[in-house]
Amino acid sequence: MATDKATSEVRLELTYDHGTGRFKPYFDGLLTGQAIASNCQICGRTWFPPKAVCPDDQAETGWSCISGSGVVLGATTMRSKLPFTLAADVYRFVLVKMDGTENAVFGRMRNAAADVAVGTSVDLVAPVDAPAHPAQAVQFVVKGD
Amino acid sequence: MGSNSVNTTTTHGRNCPVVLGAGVMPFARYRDGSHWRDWVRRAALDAIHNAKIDLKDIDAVVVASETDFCSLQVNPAPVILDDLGLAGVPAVRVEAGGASGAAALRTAVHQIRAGAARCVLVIGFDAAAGHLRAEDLQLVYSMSFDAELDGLAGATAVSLYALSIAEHMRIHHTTAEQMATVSVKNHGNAIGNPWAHKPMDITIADVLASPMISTPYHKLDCSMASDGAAAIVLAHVDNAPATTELRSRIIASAAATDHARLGDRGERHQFAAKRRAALAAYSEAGVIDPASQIHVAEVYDAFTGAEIQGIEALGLAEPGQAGPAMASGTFDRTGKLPVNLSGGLIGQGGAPGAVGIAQAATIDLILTGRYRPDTTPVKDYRLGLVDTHGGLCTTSIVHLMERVEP
Repeated sequence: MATDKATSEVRLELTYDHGTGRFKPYFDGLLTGQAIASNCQICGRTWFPPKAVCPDDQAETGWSCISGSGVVLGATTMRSKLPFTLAADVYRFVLVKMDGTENAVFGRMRNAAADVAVGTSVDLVAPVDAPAHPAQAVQFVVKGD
Repeated sequence: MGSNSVNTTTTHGRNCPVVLGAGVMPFARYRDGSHWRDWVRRAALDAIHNAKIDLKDIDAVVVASETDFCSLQVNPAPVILDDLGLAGVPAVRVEAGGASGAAALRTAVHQIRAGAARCVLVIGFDAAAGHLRAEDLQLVYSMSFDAELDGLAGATAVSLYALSIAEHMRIHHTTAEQMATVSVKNHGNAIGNPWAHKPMDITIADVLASPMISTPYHKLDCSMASDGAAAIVLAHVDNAPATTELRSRIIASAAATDHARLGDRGERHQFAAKRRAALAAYSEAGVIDPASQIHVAEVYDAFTGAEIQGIEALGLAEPGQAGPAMASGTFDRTGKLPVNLSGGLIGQGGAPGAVGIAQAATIDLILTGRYRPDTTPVKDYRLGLVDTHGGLCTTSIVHLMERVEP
């Protein structure tokens, strides 16, 4: 049928049912405010977020609890809509190196107005509300707050 | 080998695919009822026409597009072949995020070098601007990174690039004004470019006054998603029709990767994969001093700071020196080493699957003296660089192209 509209609009609604696989301990820990990191049984190094294998030894990693404290390596503020959420908000996203780990984790300050800069000490905390995805449970507060 | 020569030995030269022709469906936001298949067909037929060959001369096709979410078409190659009357020709689709077009080009280079094909049509496209809503596109592109650990946590292209350039600013004292210079240059270079999505005559003050998107990036520091398509025809030198005109050929194709997550990288302000890919390309082509030997470059400028980081990773400026050099005009259209005469992603636009191919098409036209001759500074362009990456420079692909005398 002919139409005057140049384009046609369709709505896609996807339901994606998935597991967290090998990283389940990491995601389960986040939901309770615990930092569960992967470590190499050969060289002893630790990663948060986890790595499936040690990049040097190629050995499959195991799991260990770490303190949940870390230091901010970088921060940026932006208005954004987190995946699978309904509304946009302002977020203070941070890159945090957890104590005793080799890498840094991407997450956000629970309080978007938190005064954080490179070198600020922070603590991982459990989310107040259930996140839309477990990955969104990487939330921090300034140490001592 | 002298500092102004490249590896043009007979053996290497015969293994360098020749560019026969290219076509580009301009980057834009199409809401005119056209379909991406229309754009692809136009770009491909223009490339065939400009190559002065027949469709039947094509013995392989490589297709690039970044995501099926934008096209609603899985396995697009056979559909494209059908629209071109090429059904039956071997075809593959390649994907490497924003580097998809460059990955397709590299695949074609390999096919020709290996003797698997003699004349390859490389096509890239994406319907990235006019189809999905902005927030849905942001979600799709957040999966260009480590979706499970970063993307679903809220990381987006702009937030990750912002974290990276903020560290560059902290370590090298790169300034917002230096980054804004990139936006002014690239939007300005796009003026008069018939393929460009965002030609603009703006000032540094305009960039700094534009809305903040993700600190320190303002809106005018960011490239935009575009609709569009590009195609290029590569051939083995033995299969290139005789000509009395200048041509270009691809003398190096190199790629490298970095950790997918920014937090896993040791030097988060540097593009290590680009550095490795560039060094491999320079080694392949015999380039010793890229800053003096390369005459023109198209550099992947997803954000203004990314062009500065890219120029340093490519060895076109020392670490920390690209910002000051940018501000002093080194990379302007009349500067010592023009970067993004097309306007780059910031000015010309970015349909991810098409970008790397359109970059190569631009360099081909520049090297052969056919690129917007009314506005392009007259220089003896003999060696050009095409730089494309996907993710936060997670996948880097560098091509070097050289002018060939008839």
